[in-house]
Amino acid sequence: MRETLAQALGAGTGYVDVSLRRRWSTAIVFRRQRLEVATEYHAFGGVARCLAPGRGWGAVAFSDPERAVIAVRRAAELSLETRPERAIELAPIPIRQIDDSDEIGGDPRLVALAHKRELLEGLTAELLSLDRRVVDTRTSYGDTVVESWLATSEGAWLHDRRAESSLAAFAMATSGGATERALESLAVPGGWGTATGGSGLFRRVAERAVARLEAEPVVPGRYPVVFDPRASGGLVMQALVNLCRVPSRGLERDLLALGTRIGPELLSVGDDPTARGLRTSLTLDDEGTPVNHTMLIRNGVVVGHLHTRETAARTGTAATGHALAPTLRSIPAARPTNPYLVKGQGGVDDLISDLPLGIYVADVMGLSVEGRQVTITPASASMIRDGVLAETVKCPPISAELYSLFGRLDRVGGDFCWDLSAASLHEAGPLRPITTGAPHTRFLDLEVGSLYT
Amino acid sequence: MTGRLLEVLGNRAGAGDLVATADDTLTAGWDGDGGYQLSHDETAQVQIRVIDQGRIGWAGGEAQFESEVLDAAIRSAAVGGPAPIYLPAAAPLPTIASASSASSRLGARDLLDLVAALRSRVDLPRTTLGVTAERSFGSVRVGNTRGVWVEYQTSMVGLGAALWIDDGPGDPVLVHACQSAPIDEVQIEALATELEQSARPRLLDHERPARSTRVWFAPRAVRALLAPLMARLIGESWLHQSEPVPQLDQRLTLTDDPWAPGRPGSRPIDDDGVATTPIVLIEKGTAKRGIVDLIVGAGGGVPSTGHAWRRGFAPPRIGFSNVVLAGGDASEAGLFRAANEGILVRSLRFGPAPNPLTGVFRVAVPWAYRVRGGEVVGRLEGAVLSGNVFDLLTRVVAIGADHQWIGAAAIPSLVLDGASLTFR
Repeated sequence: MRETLAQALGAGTGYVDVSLRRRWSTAIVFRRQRLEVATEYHAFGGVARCLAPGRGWGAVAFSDPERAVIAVRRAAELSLETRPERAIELAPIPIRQIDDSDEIGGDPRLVALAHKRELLEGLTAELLSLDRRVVDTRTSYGDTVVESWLATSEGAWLHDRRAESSLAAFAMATSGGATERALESLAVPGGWGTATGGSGLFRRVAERAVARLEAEPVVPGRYPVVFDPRASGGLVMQALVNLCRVPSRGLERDLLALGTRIGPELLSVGDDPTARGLRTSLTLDDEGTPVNHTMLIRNGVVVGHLHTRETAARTGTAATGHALAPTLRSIPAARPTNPYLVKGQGGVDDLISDLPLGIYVADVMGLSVEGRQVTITPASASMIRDGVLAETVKCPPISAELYSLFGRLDRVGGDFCWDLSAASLHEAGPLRPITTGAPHTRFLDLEVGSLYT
Repeated sequence: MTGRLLEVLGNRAGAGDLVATADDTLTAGWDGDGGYQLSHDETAQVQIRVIDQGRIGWAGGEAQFESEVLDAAIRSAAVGGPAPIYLPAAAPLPTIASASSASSRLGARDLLDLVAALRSRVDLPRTTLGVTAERSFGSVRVGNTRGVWVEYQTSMVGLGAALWIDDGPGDPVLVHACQSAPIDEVQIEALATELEQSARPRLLDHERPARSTRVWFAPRAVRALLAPLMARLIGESWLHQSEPVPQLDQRLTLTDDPWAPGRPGSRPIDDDGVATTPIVLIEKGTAKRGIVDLIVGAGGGVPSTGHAWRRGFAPPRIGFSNVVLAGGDASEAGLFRAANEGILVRSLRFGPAPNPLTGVFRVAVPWAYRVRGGEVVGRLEGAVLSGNVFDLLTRVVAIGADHQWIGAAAIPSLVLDGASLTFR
């Protein structure tokens, strides 16, 4: 492959990069006990990009490595056809050549589809037997092996092979006309057998859906709210990290400017693609830039952004190694890998023990940022009464203006953990997986319950 | 090659079908900041479904690996669930205009010219404009072991723009047009006008209308508003009637029209090999039919309506072809009269909601305008609209004669009563 790509690089003009990925996947889905999907995919895709001197980008997606030379030649033609009104430059990067293509332990490609089906069928049967009020479920198993190659005209080279496995369960419970839903997932690096703990995960889904059936809605008002690590991580990712990545195209209208105070001293946020043992960790990004742990917010002030080589050069800074493409055939843009909130002190008990009345939010079902308005739809919630967790409640969406929201951040716990659910970056088009990390957080005086009335 | 594949499929398994697609897409983008990109993508994919010994399975992948895909489909059937379906036999098909040869001839230079044409037409101070033009052409082949073998050509040309206004909300105004034939000057003019009308000056806070108001939903906003209604008309949601469509205003009629010439959902046959036909979904406010494919239809004991989509790696799904909401008789002046002292919403996006099927929504509407005295008097900042889609569709004040194609939907304006407007 190295020779093929080297030959392709020679067919271009100016800067050239060629990335190729080969992916083998399995997908199994049950709706209740009915098998909906049990299939395997094999995909081969690549992108050749060319930036001729003084011109714009030309890019060609292709499926067959034998066509890499043709793809680069065509990308060069397209680049030469563009009529840019500004010069596109690329920030310099250290050139690395990395080969990380070790064999995969428990290679899922060697495990029969029937075994994988059996695993999920067993877990699904267990889920359906947990409570008669669980009337509908949708469960899934997935595994993927991806082999990647990247070569650039500057000499960067990457060949790596990795695997991941995932489990997910959705449950719907009904009783007395009420219907409630819950969702859980797990995605971990590694081959067959790494996605363990499915039984506990599926049980939690059923318990959460059933618990919400009896729950009373929260009385609308203003409350202190404690978010669990998963909810805290999701909130930080969607409301802050997403606003710290420099767009390749269009205006940087939503970008939080460097030096902006967004919250109190205890708010520090980063993105760490080098974190060990996560499915989304990397060595080089999709442009061949060595990845860097990047601080985005330090002590409440925006101190960094996520960049591609082009956006870094445009702003006169260094590339951070966050040029990532969501699919085999798409073009990289600045995207997070492992965004996280820096831990503070204390555990969940410390955050709730001095609250006479409040709300505890475990996980979020939806999180949107429109303009600067943040809306959080809790997945599961409990009241906090006299400093302890009390009854399960139905919590309507929590809505706040971005600066007002983080201005109310009062405590950050010390119980940091990475969330191993199958989370993806929320954006239009194909989804890129991310892993968020955070401890518990506490916000004071949030408005709860003004939506869906 | 694919015809031979069908023969092999028949020999190795009891029965089966396949969908093979080929597509060539060229995209030109202007990023609003001086940069141009051109990208090109050619794909050829196949999805194969196998029915073997009473079990069904499927697999998808690139056409270059079609024999591997067939192997995977056979393995899938070996562990698959019971096959509830009979594959359709060949049937006479309508002749549908799904492609334009002029579109397939468009090259990079043509797309760059299209981008430049819209850029030169929109000259608004204190704004930034991004423009994308795209053309694709290809073919779809649908076949099965009962003798169905159909190929039809496809093409699509799209032109879209994002306009950021310096003192506006963070979200840009998004407009686009797409069809199988090349985009003409009239359409460029219409997109430019839409962008200009969106860039109205902002109103001061004291000029805002009352909390509860009448809303004129422009076609793009109506398209988004229909999402919960359409969700209740698809597949098992429709068959089980767990959340039935309530009686809507009698002036509302919604059809699905796969025969509309040159639109994104136009096709003579669906991906299950079932001949398509237009169907009335909502007639005079009453839900008449939903859409199903072979498998879901078999589960509910009803025939397929010809709405299967099975492409490449994506799991089979049921989807509309082209939806058409019948237009009314309200002219622009009539719409202004109907919406007087209310607001005009040009577009909206649904945010997260626990269950979209309920129709309950609360969304920020960054592109909302106050209507007074037969004209738009300014843009409203921070508007939030809430209500229930199904309630709103019982309170129709006027239906526009301004039918507009938005992707695979032909939609008029609607003036509706009963939405709740607040400001943040």
